[in-house]
Amino acid sequence: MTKTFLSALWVPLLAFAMAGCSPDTTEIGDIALVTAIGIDYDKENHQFTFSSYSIMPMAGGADQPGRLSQWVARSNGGSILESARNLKSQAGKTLIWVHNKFIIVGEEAARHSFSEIMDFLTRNRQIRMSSYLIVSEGKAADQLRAKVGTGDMLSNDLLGKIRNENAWGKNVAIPLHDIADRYGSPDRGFITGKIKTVFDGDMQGQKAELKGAAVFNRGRLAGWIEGDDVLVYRLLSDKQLWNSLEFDKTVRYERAAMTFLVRESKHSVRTSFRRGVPVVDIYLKFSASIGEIDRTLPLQDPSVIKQMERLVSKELEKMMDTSLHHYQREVKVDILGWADLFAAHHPRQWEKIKADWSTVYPAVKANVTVDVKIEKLGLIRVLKD
Amino acid sequence: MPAKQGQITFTSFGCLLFSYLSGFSTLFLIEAKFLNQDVWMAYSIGMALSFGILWLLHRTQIRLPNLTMLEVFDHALGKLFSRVVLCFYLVYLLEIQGDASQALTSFYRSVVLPNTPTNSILLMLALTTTYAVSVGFHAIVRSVLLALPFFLLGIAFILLMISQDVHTNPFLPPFRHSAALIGYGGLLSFFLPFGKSIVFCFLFDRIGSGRKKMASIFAALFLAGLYLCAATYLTFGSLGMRLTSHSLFPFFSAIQLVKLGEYLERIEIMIIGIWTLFTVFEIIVLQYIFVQLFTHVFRIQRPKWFVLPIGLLFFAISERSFREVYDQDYYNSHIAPFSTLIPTVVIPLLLFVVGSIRLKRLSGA
Amino acid sequence: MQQQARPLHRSSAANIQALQETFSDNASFVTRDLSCRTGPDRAAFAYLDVLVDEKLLHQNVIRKMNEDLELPYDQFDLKVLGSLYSAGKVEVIDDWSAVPEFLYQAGAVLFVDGHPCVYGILMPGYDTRSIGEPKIEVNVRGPRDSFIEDHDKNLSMIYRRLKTSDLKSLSYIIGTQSRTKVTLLYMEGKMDRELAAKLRRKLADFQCDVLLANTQIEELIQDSAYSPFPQIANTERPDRVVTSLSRGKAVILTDGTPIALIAPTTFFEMLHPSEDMYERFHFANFIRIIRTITLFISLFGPSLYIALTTFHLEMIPTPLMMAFLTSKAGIPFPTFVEALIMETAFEILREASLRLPKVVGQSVSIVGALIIGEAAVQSGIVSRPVVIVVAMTGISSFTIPSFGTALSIRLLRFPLMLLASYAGVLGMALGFLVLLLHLCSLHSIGVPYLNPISADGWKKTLQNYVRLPARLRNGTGSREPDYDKNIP
Repeated sequence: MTKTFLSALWVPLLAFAMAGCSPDTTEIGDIALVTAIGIDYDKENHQFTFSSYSIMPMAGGADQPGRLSQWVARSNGGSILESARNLKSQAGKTLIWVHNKFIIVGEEAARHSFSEIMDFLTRNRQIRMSSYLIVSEGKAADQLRAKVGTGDMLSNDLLGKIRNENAWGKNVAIPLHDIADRYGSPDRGFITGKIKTVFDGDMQGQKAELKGAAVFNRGRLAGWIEGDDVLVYRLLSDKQLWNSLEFDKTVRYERAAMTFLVRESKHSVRTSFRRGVPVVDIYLKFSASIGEIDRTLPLQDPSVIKQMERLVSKELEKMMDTSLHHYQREVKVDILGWADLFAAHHPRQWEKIKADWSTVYPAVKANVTVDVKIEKLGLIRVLKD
Repeated sequence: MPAKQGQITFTSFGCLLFSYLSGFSTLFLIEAKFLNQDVWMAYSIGMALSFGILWLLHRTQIRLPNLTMLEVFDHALGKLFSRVVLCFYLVYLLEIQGDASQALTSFYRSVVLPNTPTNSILLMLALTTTYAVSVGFHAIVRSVLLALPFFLLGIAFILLMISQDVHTNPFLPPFRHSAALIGYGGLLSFFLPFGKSIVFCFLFDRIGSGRKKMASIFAALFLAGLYLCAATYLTFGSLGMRLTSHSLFPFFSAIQLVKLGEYLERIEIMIIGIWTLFTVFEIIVLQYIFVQLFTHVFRIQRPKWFVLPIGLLFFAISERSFREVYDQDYYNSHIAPFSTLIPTVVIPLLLFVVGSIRLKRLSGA
Repeated sequence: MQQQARPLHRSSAANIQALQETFSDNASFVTRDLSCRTGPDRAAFAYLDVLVDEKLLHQNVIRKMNEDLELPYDQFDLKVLGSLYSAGKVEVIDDWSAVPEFLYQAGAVLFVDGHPCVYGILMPGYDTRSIGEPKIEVNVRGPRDSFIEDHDKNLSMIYRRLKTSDLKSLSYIIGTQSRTKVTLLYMEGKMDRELAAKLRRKLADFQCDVLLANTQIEELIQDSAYSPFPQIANTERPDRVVTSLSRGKAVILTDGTPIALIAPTTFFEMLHPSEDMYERFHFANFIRIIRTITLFISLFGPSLYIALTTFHLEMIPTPLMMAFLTSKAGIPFPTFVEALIMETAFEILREASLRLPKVVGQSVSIVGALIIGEAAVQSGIVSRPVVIVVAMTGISSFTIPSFGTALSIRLLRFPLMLLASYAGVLGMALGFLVLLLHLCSLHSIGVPYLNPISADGWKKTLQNYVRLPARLRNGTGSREPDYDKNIP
């Protein structure tokens, strides 16, 4: 009897649950998909500016398929949430944040109000933890208005650029969850990607360039790093950043200039204390393939190959040493997270030096050893003059 | 001993216990947030304590092997006193189910359905669990056995995918927390989830006596602990210690990072569906045991008539519980680990001690 | 027509008279007098000419009798009866009420003067359908015969396959007006005795006026009338019946219905057609996997689509999301209503196609596809993704071998859609749980519907998910494991 009554009870419940009765439904026809957002901060007026780059559907006719149109909007407010809500006054559709992939933080916002931004992003249920947080040189809102050379949507273009970073290595995009985790540490710093607009003569407009990285220390923007420094960061960082990375390295062998395509295959970072001094031993193994040689070389000779490998190793070690020196002595921010490594592997000694880490870090001895193995020669064996 | 009508195999019992423990255990990861890499010690304490208490109850029950646990309570403590003691269990069951229902509701409202009224979700839960209790124990066990392979497959897949995101060593540095803190963590993990298994003593008569019963309980506790450890440490490794401590639902946040290829992200919704099923199984088992206790304590002849009112009682209790936003957190960390010691530790010990004295006389005589 | 409960007269004339009164206003009733030489009313035949093979009766029985009567004889009745007994199996009827029933069974009765009983001989002469190919359970490699409306021919098909005396067949006449013959078959030693006794009791006690189809018997023996799932399997194939009998199940054949009932049955057996037995185990398992997937698609397809597109937009990959955006733009209805419109239209089309004459069948299905597919999308009533989802769901439901189970799954889609539209995945999960619990609580004449799940032995449990190679399979048939009773 109970069973029947309960089964019967489901019927009015289902009847009640007719379409439109749920307050959480969103109809796809009514939404605008936000794919990139920008947050700026004006320190003088204590105003946040929230910009969004959205994609909206436009209905097609009987013989035309529907199209997508792009829309950039901007609004101000006293807090990030307020400015995001104020955006709704401009929106003719419901804004959906769940497909957002990029959060662009303006330079001023990164310097002065990054903690508020992080709190907003991590607390909100619609913001994806796997979206990329990128700092812009200048205002974030300007990046969203940049032109795209291929005519594609901005978010797709940025996504493609991030995919292509595996072929270049001098830019980086860090997902939000990594930043949220590193942000809370008082000892270590972190980096995020950097974006800026440059004038493009062909397009007669500003285009967005993903290049370099922004350095954060103690929750605030502390500076920028470029070029090889970013590459070295990637090589010494998490596996996701170097696993698919293949970069080029040019070396001189005798009078020949050779360009190799280099890929990291093994990675070992060990921390230790020697006579009270913190030491980091870095061992990296690379596999290389010849990309280009400008004159004939006897590639069949094993000793030649061995010499090349040594040369490339030396070049890479030099590159690493230069960048590490830059991080330690010039930037003075522990972006590689050595503080975490020391804390994990040598907790007792770490407790002693923890308070002075900002002064100890520049003095940490970093020994880099690189091993290169040339594995591929390309499709031709020798180039005749 | 001839098999009694209505019995289940010890494997089914183990599967039921595993499902009961695993549904809810990975939601908040309360101990993990302050014990970090040493949390395995807290889990071990919780598991060991639960197994110990269940073993004591088992030893008491086998003195009178042909009786149900409730009858053993009556014989050991006297009819009147045992009823008073069983009322503690009734209150405990109401507390735990209110906690579970509200936790599930708050999870859904935080993550998936922010505007749906709490009452609707609680009502749907209550109707489902009441229907489950009305169809009977064997149907419940059978449905658990049917759903368990899908759960295990889904969870194994997710854990495998999360392990690819792990970038820090979650086990280091070890032994950095004080014994007091680890003890407190052990107490918390005994409250949630391992100590909840104590109420399974009321189902002992369903599988008969024997060493296989304790073996299946041990296996279920161990596997539930293993799953919890795997989930916790993978969360540490992929999210990082700091973010784990700050997140409200750390395991869920870790699942959010799982990506299949380039575009298929946020597949956690599917896992949540399966995982919801198992949390609901927990509430179903709690409600079923509540019905057994209730009919025994109040000497009810027709239990079937009380299934629906008890379901509505469950709905009412969970609807009225944890009304303020901080209530549940406070309850889970400050009140419940201590208040629930009475039904989960004190009463079983009491039963064991008194039972050893009184029942020896009874079974010896 | 009231049966007169009285013994027969000694006089055949009186009996014939009484029978003529009973069958007054019945143009088919015929009497044939045999005793022209010796005098009237010595012996006479009575039968219904539409049922009896008159030619056979005349040639084999009446003519022979007349010939015998030409020769010198001592006793008239012995001669007549001797001829009758040589013509076939004779039944002696001494109860008046059984006489009309015998006539309706296509029998001819012989009244002999001086005998207070009647001699009946069965001579069916009506046409029945010849044994043809199965219409619903079609397969590639197995046998191609199927049951027909004639009960005896059906029984003969089973006897030809199971040549053992362990096969028990018990007959019942059910229906006070239809007097339908119902046979219960089972294998002694394989079927549980209690279950067999239970079925026998139920069939023996069943009362009704007219038993036309075995649906009434199904309703009699099933455990739960309210469940949408059928608890008794039905089949039109003799080989399936024989397999079930050898597995310890009971089979019920009803005269006039070309479908046999099999009890007890389990949910998994509903999903496994007999095709699986005739193919190699690789293919059988592959198809089982496909069938399990289609089961889920047919049950959850539309509700999953509704849940994802209205609640869980994050789960849809971004490029697909953009495609959905363009296709859904301008559609006036909410997703749930769209899905409901399309599902209803599909059901209407399916129902209509059942009753179409073959001549117009093809053209209407093309028109239906055009209307629903192209025109509805282009006029902006529904969007393309919904059409695809509904079509996939419909096709998936056709892969379920048991028609009854497919029907119930079609029906259960709608409540799940409602739940998904209200609470997304939570609603679907709870709906699925309620369904699962319901299935787990069902019994098929006392045997749990999802029985093998909790049985001992991994082989038995596994065999309900995959078909094991011959070496690993258990021996022929297996007793059902102990039956748990439902104790809350």
